[in-house]
Amino acid sequence: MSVRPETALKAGGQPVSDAAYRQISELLFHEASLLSRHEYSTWLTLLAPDISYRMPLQTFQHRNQRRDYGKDPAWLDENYDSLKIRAEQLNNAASNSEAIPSFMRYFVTNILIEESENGFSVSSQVLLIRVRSNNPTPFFLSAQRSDLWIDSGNQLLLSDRAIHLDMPHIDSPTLAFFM
Amino acid sequence: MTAMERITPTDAASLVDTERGTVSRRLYVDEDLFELEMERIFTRTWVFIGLESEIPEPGDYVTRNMGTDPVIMVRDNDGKIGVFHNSCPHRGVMICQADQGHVKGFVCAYHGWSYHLDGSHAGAFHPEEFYRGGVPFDELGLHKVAQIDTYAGLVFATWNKELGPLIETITESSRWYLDLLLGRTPEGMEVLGPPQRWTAEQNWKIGGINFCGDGPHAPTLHSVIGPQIGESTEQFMAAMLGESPDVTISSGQNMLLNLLPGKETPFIGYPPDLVKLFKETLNADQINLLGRMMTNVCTLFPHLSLVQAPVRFSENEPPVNFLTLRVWQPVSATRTEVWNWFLVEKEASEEYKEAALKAGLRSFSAGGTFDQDDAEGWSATSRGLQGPIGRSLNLSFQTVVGWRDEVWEDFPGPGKTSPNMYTEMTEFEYLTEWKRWMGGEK
Repeated sequence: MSVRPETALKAGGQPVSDAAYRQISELLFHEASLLSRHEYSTWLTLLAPDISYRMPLQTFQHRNQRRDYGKDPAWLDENYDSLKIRAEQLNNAASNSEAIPSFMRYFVTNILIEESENGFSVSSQVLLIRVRSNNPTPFFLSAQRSDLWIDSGNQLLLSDRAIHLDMPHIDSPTLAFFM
Repeated sequence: MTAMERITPTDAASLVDTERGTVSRRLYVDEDLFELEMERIFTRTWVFIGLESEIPEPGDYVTRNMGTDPVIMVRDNDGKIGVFHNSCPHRGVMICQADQGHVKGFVCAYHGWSYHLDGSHAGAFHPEEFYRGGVPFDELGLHKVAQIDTYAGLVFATWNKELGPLIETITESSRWYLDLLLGRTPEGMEVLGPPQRWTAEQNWKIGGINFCGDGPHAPTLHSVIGPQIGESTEQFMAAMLGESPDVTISSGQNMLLNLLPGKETPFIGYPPDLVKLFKETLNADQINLLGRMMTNVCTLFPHLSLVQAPVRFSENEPPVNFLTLRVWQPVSATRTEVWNWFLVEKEASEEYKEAALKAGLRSFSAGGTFDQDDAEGWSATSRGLQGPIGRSLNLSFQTVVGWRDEVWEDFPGPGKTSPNMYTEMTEFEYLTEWKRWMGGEK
């Protein structure tokens, strides 16, 4: 919705251990590396089967004239099955959107972590730089992500991600990538 | 010298050769032609502005464009919808710079001139004596469009006083087909939120032409995603190869229908309670057609398109129909902003509304799996036509030469129906309509 969370986490929350902070930070960096290399099959192994992956849509609004309409407008609203179909499409050379793969770089910063019941709430900021074959000018997209990573017993799995873009009107013809 | 002076109506008309089925590639890249289109088309036709359900209460507004002119669509205190040029009559500052909002009246941020919701002048910030009687405030309301009209909750406006009422453009014949999408239940459709807006590196007509009925691109450009999210590969291919007519539903208004073979179960992707309402609302021929409709894409000249299809993104879930409505908002000869809304029946359950929205987001949207394939194809068109040689050549719609005399005589609906989706007839009819407006016939 239009009100953007400053952070997913409450100020003054219990800090996680240094080891946990390092483990989760490196997990996010690992994920960014997979996405920048289009390693989508491996990326899917990081996702919980019941994942909710949303990219809410925001609008420019005057402070004194605010009005929202529609229920949770979004750019993307995905589950595991739809993400898998997207991943397969992006990896298929017969599919036009990424037949010539884009160059992509993900910068993940401002990581805040809080322990939750069966895992970790993780807030991070992401800057994506993407260069498509049809447009050599780099496309920049920044966002804040609010994640829930759950402990599945032998690894942490991404169970919930909300991606709050800093761009109400997207200056690109496709969203043929993940964030 | 303006574009109007540089390009005569005869020059413009010569760019579409209706006999040979060829079109100058300048239509996709020429900035002079673009400037002329803004004048000859977007100040003279009916232009889609938005949906009534986007501004349900008095004081609700959204900001839109008519061609390259910004406008405000607002509901006034009597519930009436107004459309005004979005700039202050004083010094031209945009009155509303947000995407949407709610106001009691409009106030210009620059010098404080204010306006009622019906656009009339309300006051100036400074006392009247300050202006010494020289300013004709009564005449300085927000600049109004000449006409506003609606069909099925869609709001259209025009700057053209001479243009006939909307029913002469979106005719009874058009409505026979469009009601299959927009008027199939007693209460009609509602919008599911504000439009997605994204930029595409293409001329504004390319998408509109594609949505008129580019049947041949579906089994090639969408060969990976198409069969995967349809009801089944077999049904997708059956619809592609089966009875899938191109229909010119009125002048400049074109549609492609992918019809399932008669032996298939009708109304794929609709819940039974909605099907019951369809049967109460539409006539027998319309019901028969809607029941067999796998995909319906259409474009209403100049830049409004709709697409509906049943899709599923999980083997464990039934297919669900989405309905996307979009405009191809002109920015320049090679840049277009796509504005994309999702609609659903007002009577549908909350669960179905949510499912229909997700189905649309996943197929035809900024993140849509179909749009991704199309967008790169269309961007590559702009790249391919950059140079002087590219502009000197023609686009081929010559398939029409072999099909123009073939008509599906007993098709159970009005308009001109070509027998399959490979004819290119509807796409070329759109370009013929462009020629009518640009070449001086309209």
